[in-house]
Amino acid sequence: MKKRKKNSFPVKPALLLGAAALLLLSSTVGSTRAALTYYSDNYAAQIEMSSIGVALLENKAEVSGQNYGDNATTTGTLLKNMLSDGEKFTPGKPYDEALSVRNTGDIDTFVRVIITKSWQDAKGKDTTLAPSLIDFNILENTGWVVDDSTDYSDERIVLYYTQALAPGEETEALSDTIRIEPEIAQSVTVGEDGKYEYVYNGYSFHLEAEVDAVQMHNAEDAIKSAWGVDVTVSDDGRAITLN
Amino acid sequence: MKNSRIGKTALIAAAVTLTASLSVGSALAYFTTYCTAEGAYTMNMGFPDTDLEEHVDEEGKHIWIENTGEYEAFVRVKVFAPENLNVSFNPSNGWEYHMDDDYWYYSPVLQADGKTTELLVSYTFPVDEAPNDEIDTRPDEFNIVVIYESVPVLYNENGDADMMLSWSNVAAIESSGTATDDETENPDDTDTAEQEGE
Repeated sequence: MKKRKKNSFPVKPALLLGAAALLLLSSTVGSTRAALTYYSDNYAAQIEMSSIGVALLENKAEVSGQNYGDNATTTGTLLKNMLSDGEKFTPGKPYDEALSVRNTGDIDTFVRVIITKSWQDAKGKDTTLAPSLIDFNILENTGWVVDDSTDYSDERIVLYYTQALAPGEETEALSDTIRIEPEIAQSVTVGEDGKYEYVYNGYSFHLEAEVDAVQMHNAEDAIKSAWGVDVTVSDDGRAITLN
Repeated sequence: MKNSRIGKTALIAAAVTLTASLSVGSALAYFTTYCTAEGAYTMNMGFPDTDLEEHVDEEGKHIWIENTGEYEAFVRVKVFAPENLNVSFNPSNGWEYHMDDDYWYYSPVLQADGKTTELLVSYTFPVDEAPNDEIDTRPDEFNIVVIYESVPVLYNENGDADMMLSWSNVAAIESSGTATDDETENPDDTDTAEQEGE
C-alpha cells in the first residue's frame, strides 16, 4: 500500500491546476469571442486609438515634437531667432527664451523638461568655461518645480510640471530669458595692431532641451517606470509632488 | 517516485508560466513619449567705432558723437581749455556731468548709426587786465580740446543697459593686467580721439 501511494501521481493538485488553467483560458477565450462578436464594421470605423504626443515651444512657436497618433516627429533648433536682423550679440543682455510644452496627443499627460547648458570653443571642443555663465532664467510660481533632490551641476536642470496636461493644453513658460554673464567681456587681449579683442569671440554656448511625457493614468507607477522618480499623486490624479 | 517528481515539476512550471503570462500585459501598458531640441550661438562680440562731429561758431563749440560701427556704445566727453578761459556747458537731453572724473557722459545707449544730442561748449574771452594800455595781454589763439571715448554696452542682471557697469568694465580690463602698459595709459578700446578747435 505504502509503495503504491509514493508512486502515485498527485491527482488532486493536478486536477485543481487543470481546472484553474481551463477556467483562465476559458475566461480569455470568452472575452475574445465576445469582442469578436461585438465588433462590427460600423463599430470598427469609430475606433480611435489613444495616442500620446508632446511638443516643445520656444517663445510660443513649436520647435520639436513627437506624436504617435499621426506618427510625426519633428526636431527643430533652439536660439535660431535669438537676435533680430542685424542685431549684434551683447554680453549681459537678456534675450527672449521662453520654453513651454504642449500636449499634442489625445490623452492626459504629465511632462518634465531636462535643460542642458554647455560651452564649446572655436574648434568645437568643450571648454573650461563655466556653464553658470549661461544664465537661463527659470521663472517661479509657474507650476514647474526644479528637481533639487540630486546634486545636479550647473550644466543640467530637470524641471517637472506639477499639473496634468489635457490634450491640446500648454504649460506655462518655465523660463523667460537667456543671457551670458557680462564678466565674459572682461577677458580681452591686445592684438598686434594694438586693438583689443575679446578672448571668447568664436566660442559658442549651447542649449539643449529634452521633453518627456508620460500618461496621467496610474501616474505614480508610470512615472516611476518611465523616469525612475518617486512622486505622490493628488486625490484627483491631476497633480504630482516630488517625493 | 521518478514519475511523481517529473509530474510535480511540470505542474510547478505550468503554474509559473500561467502566472507570468498574466502579468506581461500591464508592464507594457504605459504611454510615454519625448522630443528634443538644441541650439547654439557663436559669440561675435566687438568694440564700437565712433566719430566726433563738431561745429564752431560765435556760440561756442557744438559737439555730437556718432556711432559709425556695428555695436551699441556708451560715450563720454572731456573738455580741456586754458585756465583763463571761462568755459560753460549747455547740454541737451542725455548728457550728464560727473564731477568725480570731470567727464560728460551721454546716458542713453548709442545705437549703431545713432548720434548723440548736442553738447554745446561756450566760452568767453579773457578780460584784458589793463584795457587802457596799448598792450593786450590776451592770447591771440587758444585751443579747446575735446576727448571723447566710447565703450561697448553691457547689461546688468536686471537686463538693463548699465552705463556705469560698462565703463567700470574698462577699468576692470585695465586693472586685470591683460593689456600692456602702453595701452593701459591710452586704452584703444575706449576709442580715444582728440579734436582741437580755435
